[in-house]
Amino acid sequence: MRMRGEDWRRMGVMALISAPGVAFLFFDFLFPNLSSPSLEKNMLVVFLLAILFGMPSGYLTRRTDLAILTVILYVFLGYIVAIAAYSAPFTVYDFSIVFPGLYFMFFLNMTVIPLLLMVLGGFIGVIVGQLLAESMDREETSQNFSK
Amino acid sequence: MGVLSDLRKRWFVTGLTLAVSLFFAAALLYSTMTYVDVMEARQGVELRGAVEGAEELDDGSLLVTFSVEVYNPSDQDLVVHSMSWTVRAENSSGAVVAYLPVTSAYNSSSEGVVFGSESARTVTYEAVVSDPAVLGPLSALAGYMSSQGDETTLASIHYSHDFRLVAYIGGFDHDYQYSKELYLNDLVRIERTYLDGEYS
Repeated sequence: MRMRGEDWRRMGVMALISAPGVAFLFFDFLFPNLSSPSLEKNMLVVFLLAILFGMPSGYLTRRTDLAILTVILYVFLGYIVAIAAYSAPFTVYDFSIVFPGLYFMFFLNMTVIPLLLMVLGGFIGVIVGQLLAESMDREETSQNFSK
Repeated sequence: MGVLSDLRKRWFVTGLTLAVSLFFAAALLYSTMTYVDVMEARQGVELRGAVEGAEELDDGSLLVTFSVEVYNPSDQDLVVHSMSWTVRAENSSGAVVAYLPVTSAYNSSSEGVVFGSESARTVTYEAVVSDPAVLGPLSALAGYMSSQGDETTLASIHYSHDFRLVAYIGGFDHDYQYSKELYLNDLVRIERTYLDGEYS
């Protein structure tokens, strides 16, 4: 797999755009009673949103391997942002930690299933996004020829 | 083709994606601030300035009073789940310590008591005890202590005041039943007690 500078830039931009949504879903999955709006741990909605978040990567990236890599990148970035939000009261505001057991293991333990769903949904979203892009390109081409 | 020019060319999808991204970024920020407020409430809410009192009335009954200030520095209201006040006297004259019940009061969530955000509100209880079944043992205790050389009246007996407050922060959901979700109930639950001069 050969990577050019532009590919990295494209992946970076797409990861930055998609990461906030992923981060919110992780945070919401951990604290459904505090977050707003909340999905209330509805796995079907999480999965559908994961597909939706994956679509722009597929739509805006021609190469499937890069699009899939972008999914992994934005899920990772979103996970880091969610951990930062989870830690905010204890890092920024210095409140005492109230969670049982190991601090990061608690987060990992609670969010491992949505993490897998995000990656899987993202992959499916990439395929859907690429199909959509091809369909729109075909339509654009046929409209140009019909003029 | 550059990344930005490609995004510009597909402006409709790019715009939608950016709008969704901004929406979730704002939701995450708002939710994080709510989470910080909840942590602030968990740490900052305290009972303070408790005042205990006992007075013997002209008709021989006993007036017991108690007040304590509930201080809530957070941006979230506290919705009271239960408040209880129990007063008892300790009789340690025998081999076994016995507690003589004096009075008690209980406030449940159905009364809708709320301690507002960034406020301090005083809770006051008063009870007139005139039941001979309660006053009898107390008078006997006072009499016994007086006979031991320690001049004691109904009003000067040491009464132990026990005040307990259980509240939920901001009215957030706290009825989760599944074992892996119980931490959500604890997250928004505040429990403070006052017992014999000790706050916890």
